[in-house]
Amino acid sequence: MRTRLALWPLVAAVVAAVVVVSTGCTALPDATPFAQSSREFAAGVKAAGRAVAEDLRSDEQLADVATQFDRQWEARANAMDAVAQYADGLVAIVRAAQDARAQAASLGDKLEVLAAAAGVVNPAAGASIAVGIDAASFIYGQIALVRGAASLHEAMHQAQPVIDRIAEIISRDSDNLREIVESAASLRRQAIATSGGAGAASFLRDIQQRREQARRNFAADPSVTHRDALLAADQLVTTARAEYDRFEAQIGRSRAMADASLELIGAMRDGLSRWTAAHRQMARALKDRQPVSVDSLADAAVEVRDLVQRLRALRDQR
Amino acid sequence: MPNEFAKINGYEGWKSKLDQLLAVAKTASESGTASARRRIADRLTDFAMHSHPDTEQIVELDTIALEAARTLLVENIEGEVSDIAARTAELNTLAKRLGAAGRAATEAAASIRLERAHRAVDAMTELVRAADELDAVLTDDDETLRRKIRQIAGTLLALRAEIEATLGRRGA
Repeated sequence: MRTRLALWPLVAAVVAAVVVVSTGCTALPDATPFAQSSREFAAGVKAAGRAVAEDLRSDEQLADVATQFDRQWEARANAMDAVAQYADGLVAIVRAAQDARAQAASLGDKLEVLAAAAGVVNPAAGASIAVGIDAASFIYGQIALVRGAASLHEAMHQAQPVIDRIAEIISRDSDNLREIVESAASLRRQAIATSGGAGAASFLRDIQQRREQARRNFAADPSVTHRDALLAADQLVTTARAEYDRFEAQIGRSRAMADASLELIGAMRDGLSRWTAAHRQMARALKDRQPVSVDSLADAAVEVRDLVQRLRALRDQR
Repeated sequence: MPNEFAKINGYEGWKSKLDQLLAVAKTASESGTASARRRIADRLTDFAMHSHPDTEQIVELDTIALEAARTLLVENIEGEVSDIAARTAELNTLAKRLGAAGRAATEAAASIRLERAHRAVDAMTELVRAADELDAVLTDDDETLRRKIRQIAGTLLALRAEIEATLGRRGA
């Protein structure tokens, strides 16, 4: 029995070599750029939705439409939560595969503690078990890379058509959002015109025409009467201009609000592009991953050799 | 700045211009794009901003122009929101599929991290330690003994749950 236990690390090392040769040990693609772009994209979708709802609520008569829009956009926000969950899942796979060797070693340590607590371990076998754990962890590290790649491939393969379609929907949504923002801005301008803006503009034009006439009269006959008429017309133009400018300022603020919303929608579109590009890049990196890397094989061979040497050294000490 | 209203004068001129704009608005409303409807709505608002003088008749033309503009714009906004709504059901389905892919990926990661194995070993180690402690407190009063027994029972339940989960996964 003791002989069998003592042989375990050697067997493990040989198996490790086989696993390395058959799988390669290249790293998995980095999932963090995709996770980062997913978070940016999700934030962009939510911010654009809030801005458009605010635009709609700037007109009291659009309150019902704004509520309907909120309900629809909530579905987009939920979809963004799924986007984040998916991205986090990919990151978790890559991290798990990267940390697998440490996890396996940690499990081995725990098994040692358990065995010690149960009083089933011969203290003399401790060093041999440690080498066995090292070898097993190494093997598991290689297996985890393969499992990680397979899990990533499966997840991304399943998600790709979903991501393509979500991108298409959000892209079409953004066209609708732009039109909503522009129409809401036009509607605010219409409301400003209705609430006195049109009257102020019309009055200003009338007064300007009258002043022009007064100027012509004064030029033709610079009498006191014509001079007073021109001064009175100037005064009226100043008053009318101030009133008109008040409405113009309102229209300017409305336009600035629309421009800010359009900027957010633009940011959402940019985020969408980066998100889909990051997913494509990650899929390509996974696909182009070299099945067997000469460098990694050489590194692995050195590691297996070290393990075998440590095992021999342990045997020699006995 | 020259505009399409610069040379219009008198009620007849303004009325003729409004008729022309309303004809374009009718076509846009019936078969135009959203941006075409918005453009003509803006021209109708411009009409009201440029028409003068403010006689009763011209103010009436302004009112017609502004109401037509409003109708077109509200129609536009409602149409765009409806377009968005038409895609919501599909998006919900896609979100569920992506969420499922995310959960599957998280589970795969947990499996690679040997989480179940870690939990099972932790539970078993705890069980062994609790059993040792039970042995040591047998001479104490009953309350302490009961507490330790409950702790062991809890550990056993956790262990059973892990084993059942593992068996369940294998079965699946």
